[in-house]
Amino acid sequence: MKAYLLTCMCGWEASGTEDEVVGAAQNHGRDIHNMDVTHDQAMAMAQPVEG
Amino acid sequence: MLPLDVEGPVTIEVFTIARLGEMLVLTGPCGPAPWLIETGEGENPLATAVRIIKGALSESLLVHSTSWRFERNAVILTFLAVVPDSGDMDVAPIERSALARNAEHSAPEQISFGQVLEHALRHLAWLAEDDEVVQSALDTEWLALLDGYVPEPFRQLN
Repeated sequence: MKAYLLTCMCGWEASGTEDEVVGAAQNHGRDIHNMDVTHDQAMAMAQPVEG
Repeated sequence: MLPLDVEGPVTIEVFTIARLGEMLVLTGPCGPAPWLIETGEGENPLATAVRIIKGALSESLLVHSTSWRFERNAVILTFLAVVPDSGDMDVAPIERSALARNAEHSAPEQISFGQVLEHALRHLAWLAEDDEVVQSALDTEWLALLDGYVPEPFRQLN
């Protein structure tokens, strides 16, 4: 399964599958930045990880 | 603008500070970087700041607003969150900065992250001498560290 590295504007990072990084970003956005993060917004901050 | 960025007319900026031995350090859930929190329409910024800070930090001794400025087309409200220790969060030492000074009728054209933090710590040092709640929240080690900051009351930075 394709892996991603997602980096928040604040430097926080999450890695994993698409579902995992999107879920982590949505939790981080809500709990830390008081923001609702959509799937597309999360994936716009994610980069595929080779290997 | 990044793919995802805080928006809205009021942004909360939190500096989370901890004591590490005999020095103050910046820390927080975003590490030592400024921690930005969005406020939704009609939300009370102070209530939002306290709710998010309490949820994200296992323990805070004190949350206090220290200044405001206009930046990124928004009012930035700066808060200090004082925590007893940094736990497993990343830290960075706090360096001293000269304050950004206003002209008679205008704010400084530029103000750096370090200047906002310097002002916040001077404000906290003033409160530590003037405010019983702050005095009771901070132990003698904290008060000794704040002694090095020149007290200065709340003022606009930009």
